[in-house]
Amino acid sequence: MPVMSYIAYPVDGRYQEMSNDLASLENCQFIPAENEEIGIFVSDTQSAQEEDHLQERIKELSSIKCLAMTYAHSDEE
Amino acid sequence: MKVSNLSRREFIVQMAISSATIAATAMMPGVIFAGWNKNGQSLKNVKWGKAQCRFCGTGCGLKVGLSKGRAVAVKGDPDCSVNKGLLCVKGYHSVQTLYGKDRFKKAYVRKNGKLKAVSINEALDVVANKMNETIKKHGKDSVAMYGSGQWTIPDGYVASKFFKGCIGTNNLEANARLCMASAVVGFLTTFGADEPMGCYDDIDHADTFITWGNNMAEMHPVLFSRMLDVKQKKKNVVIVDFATRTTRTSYGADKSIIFKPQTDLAVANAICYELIKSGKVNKDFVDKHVAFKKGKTNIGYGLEDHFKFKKKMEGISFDQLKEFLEDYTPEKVEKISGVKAKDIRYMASLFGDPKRKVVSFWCMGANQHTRGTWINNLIYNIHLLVGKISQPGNGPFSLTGQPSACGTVREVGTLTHKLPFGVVMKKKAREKAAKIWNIPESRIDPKPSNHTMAMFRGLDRGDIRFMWVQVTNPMVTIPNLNRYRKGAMKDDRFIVVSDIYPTPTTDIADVILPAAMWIEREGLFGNSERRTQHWDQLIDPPGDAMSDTWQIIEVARRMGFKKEFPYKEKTHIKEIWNEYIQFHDNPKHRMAPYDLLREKPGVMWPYVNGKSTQWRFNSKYDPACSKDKEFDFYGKPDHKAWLIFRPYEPAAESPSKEYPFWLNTGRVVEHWHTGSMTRRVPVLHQAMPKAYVEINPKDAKELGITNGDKVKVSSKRGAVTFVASIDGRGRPPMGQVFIPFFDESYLVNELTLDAFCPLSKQPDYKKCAVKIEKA
Ligand code: SF4
Repeated sequence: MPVMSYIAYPVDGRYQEMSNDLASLENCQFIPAENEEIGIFVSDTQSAQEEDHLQERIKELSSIKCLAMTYAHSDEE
Repeated sequence: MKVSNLSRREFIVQMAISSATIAATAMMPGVIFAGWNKNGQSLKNVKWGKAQCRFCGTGCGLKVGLSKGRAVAVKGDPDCSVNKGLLCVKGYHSVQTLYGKDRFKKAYVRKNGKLKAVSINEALDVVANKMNETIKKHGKDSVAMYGSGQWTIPDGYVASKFFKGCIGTNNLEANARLCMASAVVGFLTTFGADEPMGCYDDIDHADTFITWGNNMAEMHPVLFSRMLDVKQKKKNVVIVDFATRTTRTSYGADKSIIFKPQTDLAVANAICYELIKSGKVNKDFVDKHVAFKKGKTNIGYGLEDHFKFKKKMEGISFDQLKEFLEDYTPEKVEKISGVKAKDIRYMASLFGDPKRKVVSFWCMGANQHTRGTWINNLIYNIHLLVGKISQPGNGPFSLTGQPSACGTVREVGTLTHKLPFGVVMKKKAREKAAKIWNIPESRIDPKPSNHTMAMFRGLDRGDIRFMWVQVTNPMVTIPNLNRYRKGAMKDDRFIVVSDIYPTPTTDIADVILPAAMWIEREGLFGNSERRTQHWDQLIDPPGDAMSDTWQIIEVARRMGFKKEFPYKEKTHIKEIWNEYIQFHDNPKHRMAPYDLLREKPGVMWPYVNGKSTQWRFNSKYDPACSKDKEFDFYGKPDHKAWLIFRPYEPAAESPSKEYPFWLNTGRVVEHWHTGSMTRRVPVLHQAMPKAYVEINPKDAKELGITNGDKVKVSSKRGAVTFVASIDGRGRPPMGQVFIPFFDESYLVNELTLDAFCPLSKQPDYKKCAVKIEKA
């Protein structure tokens, strides 16, 4: 049951699109910064399998320049 | 930190978000995540209580998430006008500071040299008996209390009543002496009334911000974020960082101007010179509202025991001021300060531009200064010359470091010379206190005794034998620490410490009283903008922990002062508040009623006719002003603000051949003060694990020092080895080093000098001479 957090950076000019993309992912939260074009992305998936699936979906999102991981927790550890 | 299973997952998510917030703030100073609030609302099974963050003087409103008797989450209170829902990393992690593994849950008394756990009642008996015994043997001035700007208002109030009104000694001080005293004396000398005239909403109205030796990005991050927000929304906003080193604030500013330590005095005078020379003085304002004065010069540095200083002030004319300022032409000052004449003219042009609204911010850089009162006066001089004061968006704003330096120390008056209203030297003030406290006036000593440094010198010499320390950690923070630690540990000294975690101060204690922290008791704070903020007790304290207020009441009662402390345990905070506000029942300082404070996220005084006062001395906003003029500086008998000429004088100790570097000390965003709470929060500790010495890369190269090397830093008073940080968070100019003081394993105050401003008695932590060598 992993919980991860990241700082999300958009491709130039695609901040809104990235915000929408990340906010729409299931079992995830996106907290946009008020005054910079970055956001906090938190995933809270129920299993390793679901986490893998999420990672695949994230890879498909072209609006993201980079996700910098800041926290990772897994109950299975 | 343990949490219930039901909320555990939610808690982990909160941790994940807070880690990301920290990392983002480290990369982008000033970045704001207001969406945190929405996230907090998604927590199930959590009730939200109102509180204020206790980790700086800003006073951000919080909502604290409570589940099964524990505080499990935090979000910014969107209804609080201070932070409008924003928080910095310390705020987000504030509740985690409650749950360190080594919280004191029991009291301890030293027996045969060892601290032994005892019941709280036994410990309180020991404290009361020892105080009685010491007073009997050595007189009332042999006992002292040293409190804090983190004391709640009721803590400070009962301490004042107990020491000044019951025991009859003025040996009561608070650590705000080390952070705010110069601001207080600055206000009193210029305006005759303490605390800022403006408020944080000035940020929204202004377009020009000057930070005077003030790393706001790290010390007041939420206010800095508000400033950056204004910059994004408005055109023509200018932020000038005027400082002795490059910091995160410099990176967020439009212009960084570096001055040599102590020479802010000269630059401020040069700005005044330039304003006058370029015809930018607001003549109408000055003629109506400003009186010109000159104080004593060559005033010394307070280094010797029993240092005495007598103030003197004389009137001068505007022409005399002009004449004095001839020594401060931008070209002359460039030579002293290293600030280019064109940069001085640039700053003067910002102040002098009638279209610009200018706010000056400062905090420790100006206050922890052997001429701290003077630099406060000089910043006011600039604002007064151009009439940019006491109006929305125009004003000098002295920020406080601690959550209730204003509310508790300055307003309640927990300093040797003060009473909750007025000073001990004034009969009327003593009479008022005696009436409200229901004690004979003769019990209040009309002579101030010891300010903080004199108190620790007295402890060393043996004039003081008993000291009770609450909510502060002097064995980390007192300058020239080696002398005062040895003094406190001498035979026949008795030290009582009320705290929540072990610290270097509890290490030397004879009695440790476990304290209830912050939301584990009901309390009130007063922030930098005259805002009083109340919170209810939200959770139970651990074990025998007891609030500082109630500890004092218990000891006072044991010493026979039952009549003076008649409060009921359940309602004592309300009873104390209602008693205390009688001291300020006038239009200049009226405080809000208890029930209103419980409801609101803060109310600003003077609270008159159901309204907070945002801008004092301006008759449009301030009910205490005379209505027939636009501004009324009613703190002074002539109803004018005093523009006081203050010269440049050098620092108490400057670099020499043997000690060629300036040492500057300060804080970092992750940690609160001595780190005793925030270093117990894993995320904050990992983000900033230990103290370091910041060195300019050229100096480092010359000395063969690389990043991460061990470096021995020595002054005439001691030597400590730190890890080198080169172009890390900040960059000092060549010839200077910076060391933060949050880390008790590396005590930078073993190096600092105990020189102070003779007017305010506030020590200078920003300037002394050291040498550095690769260890
Ligand atoms: S700015 Fe100060 S009061 Fe606000 S959250 Fe940060 S530490 Fe707390």
